[in-house]
Amino acid sequence: MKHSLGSVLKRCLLVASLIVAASCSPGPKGKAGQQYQIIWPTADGHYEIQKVQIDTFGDPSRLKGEFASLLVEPRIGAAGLEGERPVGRFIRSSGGVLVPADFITHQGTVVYAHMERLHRLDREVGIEGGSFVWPAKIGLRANVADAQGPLQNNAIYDGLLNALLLVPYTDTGLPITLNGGVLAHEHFHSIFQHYVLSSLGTQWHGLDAAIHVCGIDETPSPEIQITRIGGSGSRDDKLAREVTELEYNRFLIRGLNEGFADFWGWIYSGDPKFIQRSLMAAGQVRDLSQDMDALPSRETIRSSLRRLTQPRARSSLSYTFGSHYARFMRRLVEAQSASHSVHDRAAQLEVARALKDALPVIAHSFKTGFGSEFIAPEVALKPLLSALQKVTPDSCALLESFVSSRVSSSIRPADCPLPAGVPAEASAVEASGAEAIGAEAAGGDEEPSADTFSSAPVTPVTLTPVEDGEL
Amino acid sequence: MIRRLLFLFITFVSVALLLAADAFAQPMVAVGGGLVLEQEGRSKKLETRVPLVLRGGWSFSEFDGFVEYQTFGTTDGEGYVSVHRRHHGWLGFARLKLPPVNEKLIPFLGAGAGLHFESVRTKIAAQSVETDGSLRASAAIATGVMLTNARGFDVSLDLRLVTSDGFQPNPTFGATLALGARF
Ligand SMILES: [Zn+2]
Repeated sequence: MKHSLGSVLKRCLLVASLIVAASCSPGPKGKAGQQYQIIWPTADGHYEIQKVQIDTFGDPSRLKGEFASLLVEPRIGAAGLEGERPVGRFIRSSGGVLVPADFITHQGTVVYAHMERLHRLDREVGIEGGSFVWPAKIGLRANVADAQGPLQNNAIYDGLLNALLLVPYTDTGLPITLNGGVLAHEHFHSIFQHYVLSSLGTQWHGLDAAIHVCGIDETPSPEIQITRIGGSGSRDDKLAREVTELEYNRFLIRGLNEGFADFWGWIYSGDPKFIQRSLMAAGQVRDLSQDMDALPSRETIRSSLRRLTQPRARSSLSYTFGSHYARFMRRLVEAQSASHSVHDRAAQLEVARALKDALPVIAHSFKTGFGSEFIAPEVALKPLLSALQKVTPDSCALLESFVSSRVSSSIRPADCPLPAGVPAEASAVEASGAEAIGAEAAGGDEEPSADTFSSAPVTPVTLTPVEDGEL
Repeated sequence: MIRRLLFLFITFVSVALLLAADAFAQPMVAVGGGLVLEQEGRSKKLETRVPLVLRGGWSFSEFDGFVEYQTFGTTDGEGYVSVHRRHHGWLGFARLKLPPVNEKLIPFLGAGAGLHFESVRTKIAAQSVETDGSLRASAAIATGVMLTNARGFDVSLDLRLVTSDGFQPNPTFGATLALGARF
C-alpha cells in the first residue's frame, strides 16, 4: 500500500507540473478582427451591450495597444503620467469573443475601442501623423483633487501632461468612461492643445497652466448667463472689477476650446445630447440640439466677466459661450448639406475638416493679440467658413443670424455677399479679428442695454457660484 | 452544457469514491472558506476574494485524495452599469500527510490539477448579458496543517499557489480553512 500511495502522489505531482507548464502562456492576444463584448453606442446614440471589433488592441491583458496606453489609478511623476502595469481580465466565450471580466477592464476596453475610432476620425479630417497624441495616455480611476477635494464625475484633459484623466463616476447615468461623445470631446482638447495652445508659446504656458486643464463637467448653471444689464455706468458695474485683456482672452479661448470639443463629441457620437447621458445638469445646458442663439458680443462678455469674479464661475460660463459655437457648427453642417440634414456624414466631415484647418488661423489671432487686445468673439468664424470648400447660401444666412447685427467684412467669407444696405467697411475695426478696447470705446456701444447669450428676453439674474464637484 | 455535464461527472465520481471506500480508506467530506488574492486594475493592487470550498474524497492513513470545488463572485460598476464575475473551479487534490507533530496535529503537502471556468454578467440599465468562458486547466500546490480528533472530525488550513493562464497574477496565492469529517 505504501508503495502504491507514493506512486499515486508522484503521478499527481507530474500531472500538476505539466499543467503548470502548459498554463504559463500569456493572457489573451488582441489580434486584428478580435471581437469584444462591451457597452457601445447604437446608431441612435443609445448604449447597449454589443460585440465590437477592435483591430489594434495588441495586449488587452495590459490594456495596451497601438492607439492608447491606459493606466489605472495613475500618479504624476518625473516622466508625466506614471503607474504600475495595468491588468486586464477577460473570459473567452465559446464563439471566441473576449468579454471583460471586471469593470475596470470593461472601461479600459471601451476607451481603447473609442480611441481606435477617434484615430480613424482624425485621419478622415486630415489630421495626419498625430504623434502629438497617439498613443493616447489615459488614466482610469484617476485621483484628481482640487481645493474642494477629489474630483468625481468628470473627464479631464491635462495639456501639460498631454493625458486624459478619467475620475470615478458616482452619478446614476452612463459612466463617463463609456461615453463615446465625452471621450471625443476630451480627445479634441488634445487637438486644440496641439494646434492652438501650444503654438501660443511660452507666454501662454507661463501665464496660466490652468487653461491646459479642461473638464467635461463644469456644469454651467442655468442661472449663470452672459448678461449685461443697465449699461456700463450702472451701480453694479462700478462695484465690479475691471476685466483685463488676459482674463477676457483666457475666457474666450477656453470657451472656443469647449465649444469645438462639444462639436467634436457630436461629430463622433452622432448624439447631440451625449453629455446628458452621463451628466444631467451640464448636459441640458450643452444640448446641441437646442436652438442656436446669437453669439454674444465682446462688450457683453466683458460685462458678464466683471460680475463673475470667481475663476470657477468664469470657467463654468466659458462652456455656455462654447455652446453657442457648438450649436452654430451643428447648424452649419445642416446648411452645408446637400440634403439639408445634420446627419449628412459628408457635410459633418467637411465642417470638421474646416475646423481643423481654421485652428492655426485662430491661434494666430490669439498670438498677436491676447495679451493686449480684447479679441472679438467672432474670431473663429471667418477662418472656419473660409476653410469650407464652398459656403452655401444657407450657411451665409446662418452666419447672419449668428452674429446678428455685427456683420462685417472680417467675419464674412468671400462666398457670402453683403446684404443690401450694409457698407463693406462696416465694423472694419474687427478686420484683424482682434480689436483694441480703445477702439471699441471710441466707437461707442452698439448693443442694447440688456443683452444675453439668449435671443429671448432675459430678466436680470443672480450670478451664483457653481456647485461643488466641478473642476 | 459541457460544464454542467462535467459537474455531474465529478459529483458522480466523488459519490462513487465515497461508496467504494474499503478497509484502507475512509470517505471524507469537508466544507469551508478561503481567500484568493487577485490583481484588479493594476499589478500591485491585490483584492481578496472569499470562496466557498467543498470537498469530497477518501482519507487514507498516509494521504488524502479528494475533489475540491471552489466558487466566488465579484461585482463592480458605476452608474447604471455593472459587471459581475463568478469563478467555478474543480481540483483533484492529493494531500500527503507528513510525520505528525503530535497525535492531533498533522502537517501535509498537497498537489492538485483540474479545471475552472468563469461566467460574466454585464448589465446596463435593464439589459443584462451573461456569458460563460471556456474551460481552462489549472494546477495547484499546497502546504498546511490538519487538526484531527478521535471522532473523525478535522480542521485543515492550507496555503496554496494555483496556476492557470486565465489567472492574474499567475500563479495566484490562496488559502483555505475547512471543517472535515471522516466516516
Ligand atoms: Zn472640455
